[in-house]
Amino acid sequence: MRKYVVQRLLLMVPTVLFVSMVIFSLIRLIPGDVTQIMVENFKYADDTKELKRQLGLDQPIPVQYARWLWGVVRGDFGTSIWTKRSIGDELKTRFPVSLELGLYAMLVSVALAIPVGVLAAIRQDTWIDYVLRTFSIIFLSVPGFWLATLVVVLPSLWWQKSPLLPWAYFHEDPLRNLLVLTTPALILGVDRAAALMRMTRSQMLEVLRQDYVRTAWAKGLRERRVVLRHALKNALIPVVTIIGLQVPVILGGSLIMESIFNLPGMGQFLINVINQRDYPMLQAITVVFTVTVLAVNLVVDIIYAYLDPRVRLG
Amino acid sequence: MDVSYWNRVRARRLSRRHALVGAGGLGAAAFLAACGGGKKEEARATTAPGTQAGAAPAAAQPQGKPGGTLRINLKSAEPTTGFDPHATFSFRTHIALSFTHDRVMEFKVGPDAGEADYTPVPGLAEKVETPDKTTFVITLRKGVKFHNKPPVNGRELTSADIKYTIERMIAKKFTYRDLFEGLVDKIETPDAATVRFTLAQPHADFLTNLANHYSWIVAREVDDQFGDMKKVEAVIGTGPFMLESYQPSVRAVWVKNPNFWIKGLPYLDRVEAVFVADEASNEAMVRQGQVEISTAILNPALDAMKASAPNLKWWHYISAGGPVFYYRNDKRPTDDVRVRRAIALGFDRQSWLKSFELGRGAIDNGPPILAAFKEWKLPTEQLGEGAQWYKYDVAAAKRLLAEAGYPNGFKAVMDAPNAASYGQRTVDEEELTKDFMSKIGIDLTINQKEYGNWLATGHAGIYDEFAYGPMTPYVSIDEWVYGMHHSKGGANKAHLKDPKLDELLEKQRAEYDLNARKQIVNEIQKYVANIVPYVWPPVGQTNVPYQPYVKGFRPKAGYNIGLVLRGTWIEK
Repeated sequence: MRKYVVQRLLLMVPTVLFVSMVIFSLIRLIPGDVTQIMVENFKYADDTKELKRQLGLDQPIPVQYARWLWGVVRGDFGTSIWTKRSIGDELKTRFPVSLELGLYAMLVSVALAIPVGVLAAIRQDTWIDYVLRTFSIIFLSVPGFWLATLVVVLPSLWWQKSPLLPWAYFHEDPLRNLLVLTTPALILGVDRAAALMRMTRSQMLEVLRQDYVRTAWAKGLRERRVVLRHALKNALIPVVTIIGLQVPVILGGSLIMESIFNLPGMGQFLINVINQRDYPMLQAITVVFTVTVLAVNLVVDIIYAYLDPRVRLG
Repeated sequence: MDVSYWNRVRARRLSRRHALVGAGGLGAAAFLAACGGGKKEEARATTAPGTQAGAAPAAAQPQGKPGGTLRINLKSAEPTTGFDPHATFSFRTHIALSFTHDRVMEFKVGPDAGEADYTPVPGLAEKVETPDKTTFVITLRKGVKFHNKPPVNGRELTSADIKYTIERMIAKKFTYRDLFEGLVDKIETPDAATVRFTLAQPHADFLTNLANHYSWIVAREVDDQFGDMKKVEAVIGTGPFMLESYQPSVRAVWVKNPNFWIKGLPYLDRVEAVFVADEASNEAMVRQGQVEISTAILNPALDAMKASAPNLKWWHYISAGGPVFYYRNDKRPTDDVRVRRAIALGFDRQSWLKSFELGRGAIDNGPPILAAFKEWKLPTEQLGEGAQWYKYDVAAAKRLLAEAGYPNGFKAVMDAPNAASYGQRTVDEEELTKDFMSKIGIDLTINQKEYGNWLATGHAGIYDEFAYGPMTPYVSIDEWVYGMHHSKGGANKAHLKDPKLDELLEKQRAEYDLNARKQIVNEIQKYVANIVPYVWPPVGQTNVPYQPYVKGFRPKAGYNIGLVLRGTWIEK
């Protein structure tokens, strides 16, 4: 197992390098010149040539990339070209917010989808199944941003209350922090749970029809044992894959939730960074997102081994 | 920047009634010293060349209730652009600085001051004297202190700070240095409380320039210590509030400046601002009382808001900012006045206002003075011969184009900012403009530009045929008329070169008598209306909601929220 994890971690390096190279080049190909904005609107220097020199943007792209990479290797992401704030500090403040929201949403998603999916499968073609499937279709169809807007607006119209709360970091006020995140996490989680629930249901139905499950029934095992011990574990393998694939989707969805619920995470910040062409900041965020997705995929692969002993890692 | 910026940067009307009062047929100044809130200190004085007079504010008599915290949603006005007062024209920076900084002159605020009343009144100045048309002697208030923060540590404001601020703007070539560059010939500081400005030529709006939000007064030590003033630690002024903290994307907190130069003000102990740009969230926060004030509710949501939150109180006013549609007055085909008149006739103002503001706002906006400047703007029906070009008449427009040699219209390119620059609303406006023009036969291709590129080209007047985009919300009449129409004007986007108009524009600038100047400005409006160098779309209404227990609050257009809140209190 250890060997496998080390191998996977080593494989992440070229992936991150490749992604960072692509992003580094692509953002410089976006029409428009950041130095022009900085000079025209914000007087960062007398002219763009001088500013480019100050920021090192006058160097060839490979040289700029090498310099940036050398900084990252030493743990220094540099500073924002706009605010001069340390990118490391900015990430330390913002990334935990997005991560917390993502994990919370994922928890909601899994906690809803798996029991509901299992229930729908074992009660196939009953009214319970129909109701649960109908809800899953509704939540699959309803866009998260629309649901979030309704959740914010309608209670404020009807009862002068809304789930919008002033932000507090976890270390400042854990209860408030969780309360603030609950509604966006529920919306994101429910949105994702719909797909996951359908996958769980179909996998469970498939597994429940297999011979070894029939044998378990024939042995006279209780339903709970057959379903949870024998069927669910095997049914979860593709479900776990889907959970892993949902991480980037949840990261993307958090962008909208952060905007609606005024959360100081990476989402809205990323939009500003792209608009402002804050190259070093954008590169850092991209690397962090890439590493997060790769790390989640690694965790998913490790979970495979736990769920299915036939999968031998390393 | 975004669309709501232009909705927020609202109506402004330069009322010089109190600022310049004619005396002896020459320039005169009368200043109302208004300190905002429930308290007023007023003084009038008339100054004429060769005489001295001033306005000494009476002792403040605060009527408000001290204490409390006010929560406000500043929407997208988060100071992500840094805090240097002079390096940027971004509203994000200047709104934040209105809490912490002062100007030599400021705009009248308080319950009796209109939202767009740009009357310059003494701020840090105690007295202004104009011994002649090119000399302004400012006597500073005594006992004004900078915030008690390093490196300034609460030292007293001196005339050297005023001189340093103006010279900083010019020396560092900041964008709006033309408020003073070329105009101020000399700045002298005969003593610590006196600043003597000698102008290169008379300028009727010089005091308004000193009240402009670019003219926040700073201390040299801050520059020396921090290199520039972009950082949070560099936010040190003499204003009513001190910046306590700024958590990006979360909130900014200002606390009362205990040494503020108006004793008893500000009333509030603390102002907490959030930056929720999402409209639905903004409305929900106001409705449920999570904030005491929001800087704007958009017109399409207004009725629903009023119905769902009947206890809210409101201020409504007309914007003085907005977009402008322009074209090269020096190149074919728009060098032909018939083509320009056809363009004006083809612009459907009624449907514009209906489309974007549900009909709430002012159709009669420009040319060239915006509707908000009520004391200066001539209604369209009084524009004389030029009035005929401002009604919607497609047939007449086509006739004029045919007379000009374009019976089948023509094709042209319109440069404009992209959605990322000012938001989708601006792009929708561009599309509607294109649609209007297509109906009279002018086939415009929109050439959308990225923000920096737009600022450097179309916004700066560098384009080939047509352009469309938001205008800087000027606060002085001179900026609107001289700046945009004089052949040497800094904002002459239309590339006008009209000697007769130049003469009129120079004349109004040199005229200090209010009534006489108004006559000249009226003449300019009539002249401009007839030659149609720009087309001004209608302008929307700004709606500012606040909780009923907020007292002494009346919003001020532009970048003055901190100024307004120094006289606001909470009475629960």
